[in-house]
Amino acid sequence: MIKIVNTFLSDHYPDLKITAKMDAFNRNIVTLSGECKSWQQVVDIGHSVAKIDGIKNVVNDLIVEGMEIPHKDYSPYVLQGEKLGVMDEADVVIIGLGITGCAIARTLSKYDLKIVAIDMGEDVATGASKANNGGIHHAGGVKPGTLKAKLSVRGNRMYDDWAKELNFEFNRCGDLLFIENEEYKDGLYEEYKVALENGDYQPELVSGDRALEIEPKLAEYGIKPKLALWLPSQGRVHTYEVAVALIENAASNGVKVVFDCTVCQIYTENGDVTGVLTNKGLIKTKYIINAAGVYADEISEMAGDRCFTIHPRKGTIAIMDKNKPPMYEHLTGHFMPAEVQKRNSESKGGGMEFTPSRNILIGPSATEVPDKEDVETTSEELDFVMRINENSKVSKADIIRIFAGARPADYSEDFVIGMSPVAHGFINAGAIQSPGVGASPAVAEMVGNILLEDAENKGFKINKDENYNPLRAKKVKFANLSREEQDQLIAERPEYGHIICRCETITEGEILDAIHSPVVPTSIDAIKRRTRAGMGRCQGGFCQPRVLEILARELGLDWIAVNLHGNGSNILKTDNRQQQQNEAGDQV
Amino acid sequence: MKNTYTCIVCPMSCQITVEEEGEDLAVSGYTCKRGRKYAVNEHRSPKRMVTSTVRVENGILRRLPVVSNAEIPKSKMTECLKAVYAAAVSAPVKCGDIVISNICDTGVDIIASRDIDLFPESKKQ
Amino acid sequence: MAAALEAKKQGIQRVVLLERDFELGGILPQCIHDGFGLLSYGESMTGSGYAQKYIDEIKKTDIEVFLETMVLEIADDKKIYACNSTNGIIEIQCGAMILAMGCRERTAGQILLHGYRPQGIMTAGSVQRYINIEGYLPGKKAVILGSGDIGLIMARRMALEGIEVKGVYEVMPYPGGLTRNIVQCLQDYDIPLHLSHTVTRVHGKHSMEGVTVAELDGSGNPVGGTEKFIQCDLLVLAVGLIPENELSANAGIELDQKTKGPVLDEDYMTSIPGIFVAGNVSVVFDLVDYVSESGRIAANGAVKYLRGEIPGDLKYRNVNCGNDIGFVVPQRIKYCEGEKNVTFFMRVREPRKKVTLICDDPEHEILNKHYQAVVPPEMLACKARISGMGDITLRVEEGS
Repeated sequence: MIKIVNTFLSDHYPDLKITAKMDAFNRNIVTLSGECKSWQQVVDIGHSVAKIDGIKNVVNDLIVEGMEIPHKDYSPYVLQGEKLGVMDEADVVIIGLGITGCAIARTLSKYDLKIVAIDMGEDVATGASKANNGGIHHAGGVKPGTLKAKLSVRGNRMYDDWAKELNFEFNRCGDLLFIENEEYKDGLYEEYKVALENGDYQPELVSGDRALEIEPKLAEYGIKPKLALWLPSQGRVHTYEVAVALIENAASNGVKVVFDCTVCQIYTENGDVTGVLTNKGLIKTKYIINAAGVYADEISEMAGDRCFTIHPRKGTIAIMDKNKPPMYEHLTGHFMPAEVQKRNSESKGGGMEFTPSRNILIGPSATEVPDKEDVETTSEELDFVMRINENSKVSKADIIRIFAGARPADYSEDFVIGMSPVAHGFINAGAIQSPGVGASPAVAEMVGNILLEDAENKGFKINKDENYNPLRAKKVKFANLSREEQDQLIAERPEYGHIICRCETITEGEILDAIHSPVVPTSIDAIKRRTRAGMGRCQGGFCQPRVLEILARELGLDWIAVNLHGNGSNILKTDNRQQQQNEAGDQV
Repeated sequence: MKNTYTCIVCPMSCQITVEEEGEDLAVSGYTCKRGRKYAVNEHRSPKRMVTSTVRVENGILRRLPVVSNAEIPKSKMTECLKAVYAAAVSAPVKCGDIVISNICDTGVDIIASRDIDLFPESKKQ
Repeated sequence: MAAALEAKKQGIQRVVLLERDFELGGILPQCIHDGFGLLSYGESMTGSGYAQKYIDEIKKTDIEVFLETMVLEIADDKKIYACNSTNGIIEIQCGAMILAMGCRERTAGQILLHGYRPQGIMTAGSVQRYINIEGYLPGKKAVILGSGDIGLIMARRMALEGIEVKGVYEVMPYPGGLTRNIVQCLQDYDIPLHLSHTVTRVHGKHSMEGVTVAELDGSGNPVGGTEKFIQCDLLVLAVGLIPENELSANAGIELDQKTKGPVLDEDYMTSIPGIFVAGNVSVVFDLVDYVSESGRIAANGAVKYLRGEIPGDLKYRNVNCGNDIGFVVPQRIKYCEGEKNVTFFMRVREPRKKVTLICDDPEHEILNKHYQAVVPPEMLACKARISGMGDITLRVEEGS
């Protein structure tokens, strides 16, 4: 195998000195090292080697001439953690609480297991999970035969039950891709074939007339579809809302959640996992589940298993003012093959989307970046996503917020899920990019099965937790109630009569509900994710001071201690008279 | 000594130069009488209003906006503000109450610029 | 408050005032600087002092004040739904309604501010609230984007509170605020003003580390090579006020794209008979005296309406403005017999020197006023005696 790789490299990149090494565990994983001319070249080489027949994945150590690629320095965390000693003991530690980690936490909470779920952020979903467009995808755009395709199709079907049990907003809107002329007919057929091959739920090629029946609004816009692909399995969620629902249910079922907890070392003994060192101390454990997003490759390396490399792919999204409603009921749009939209054909770029809250979302873009923490927006990225815009009534003037996130893509462009042969007990659930959100129920199921099977093989039985309750109570959403219901609610609890977020009509009662929940949000953004306070057109201009006041009061914090999104992001720096009082006092 | 002042009397915003020639002043650049007067005043004895906030105890708000009842010499601003920052009042306060009288010997008082009621007992936690 | 007091003065039995905050005054309680009330009271007071005068007057009347009460919806037939903690959902059948919701501030997202999104980006009004009302400083080193009066006032405020204000950056080639504020807020404190500049990038993944500023060319595009990094932990956005017309739009009231407020006539009545507007929600005024005046005009209009003195079938004369004028209110005048006095409020698009403001209709010259200088930050208020029938045009011409 190594010969084939070396031949490939010398053929295609003759002027670069690249060394290839094969995986010690015969998994056909290649480790590449050497120097390249640009970051794009590093990524391209990684991709092309991963595509070689027989190669499972690539660990990419290529560097760029003259460029310093930022790397996370874990040593300060190690120093902190070692000083603090043992923090806890668990059966399972879940590293990373994005949609994947939260799904796994909830799935495993069914069992009699001591689970400690940790995240480096101050809340769940602080990475890619808060920066994506919330699609529960159909299977027309995902490569058949991949693990992600299989899990996406299965996970998609599991969402109805999830939404019912966990009470998050789920809109199974369906996707209607149409063509008005023959130009992209072949591409449309391709996508249909792919959906079928993947086992997508009831994809259908429909006539123009049928398309107009499915989406009557098309006629209003004067669109005359000739042919369309109807993908009824497509759905939409607010990903962060799902993550919150999952972790709250997991916590109610006994999962311990620790935030601001960064993993910096993994301990093994005789090839078995024994513990995880974090900045808050050591957690002894038998099993570790790695759902650490863009850092998953680094976590796997800590366990002694370098089996994939994450190359972050940044996606930028623009959210529009609600007063410009989506054009259609379903996710409807002109079908355009990926090459035409000039996107990385491996990745899923987006189109005109909308959220369950009926905000139009435009994007995402897909740009390879060397820095895992690069979530900067740029005017070039924004111009790119606005080109996707088909709605003549919507323009840059309607943007209320622009943001970006980093997809944790590896070089196989597929999920990496499995027990490590190097560190027994260490299970990877990494490289979860799109369709990760829709796949998450199936990802969690797969990880759960791996763990349970392993435990059984090792001779210890894991029982179901008798007290497990899959249900999470429905949250009050004041804005969705009738006037009578609202009046009754306020009579029972006056806090629901105090509107805090004017743009989204969010009440103090809802904010208090969010705070007094199984996983306590401590930052302004955490409250935003749970209640939508601050997501409206004024972007917190009116409500932020009021949310800050409520957080400080309920959590017993000084106003100065309240932060926007974690340690070091405090909104207020000083009391403006305390200093002067002290100075005046000193003079006396 | 020669200084240039931007006149604030009207949107013309003339740049008026004031030059000291012995006891007299040479003023140029103005287009009206009011401008000339403004520049001379700015040169000889620039004055400003003081507006700031003072710490409040036991009030429905933490800060009381205060204002000077006349302009003070610009040169005394820093000193006066120090006094304002060191002060504190107790609720209830009425608009017009004197917070600091004859601040820094200017003959100007610092007065409350709104009412602040006492924090109601019923709302205390 | 001015509208409520005027309505009461005119003998209206039930006047109800709905306010979402815990006290009356709107934005005024956080405006602790002076310069308010010069026209109305002949003295320069603080915003909070000006509001206190009105609050004191309201207390003397039987005007029903609902605090911490949010209006949720203006439904058909002038019905309002509002809510608060004590009364729950409140349904009010109004005889007439005056909307006075003020403005909100333009956000980072709306100006397409790029870079990271750390803690430290705040609108000027929010900074003002935290410092003046709550008593906290949201930063130690600040950069201000926008040289409108709010930005200038906050530059001084922050400097006085010990925040290092590194500079004010303005996209236009002229300042957005009054010269008085340039002098007393920037020059007095040696705070530099950079015209034709903007912030092109925000730095800091978690909390703000600084911003990149750049010079702009004639078309408003950043000029390559002029980028400068400025270290700061607070970026203050003073980039515009937007009249808060969500309720108006949802009620189907016709809005003027130029003012972002409702189309109104000389009684400040909107396109829905019986619904009037006053204050900054109709157009962004620069003097609070005009705001109060608009409240009184609207109240008088509402009183006329309640007494049946406003005809059912309304015919309007449009008020058009030439290209040099950004907007004018009122945008239309009711046809009527005889003459009436109307005050036009407008702003010019660009600074001009030695110009004449002409107001006429097809048959009369209504106004001919010469100005030495006119600038966008300073609203022009012109009283005119209107008679006749045709559309009215306002325009600015060179010379006297």
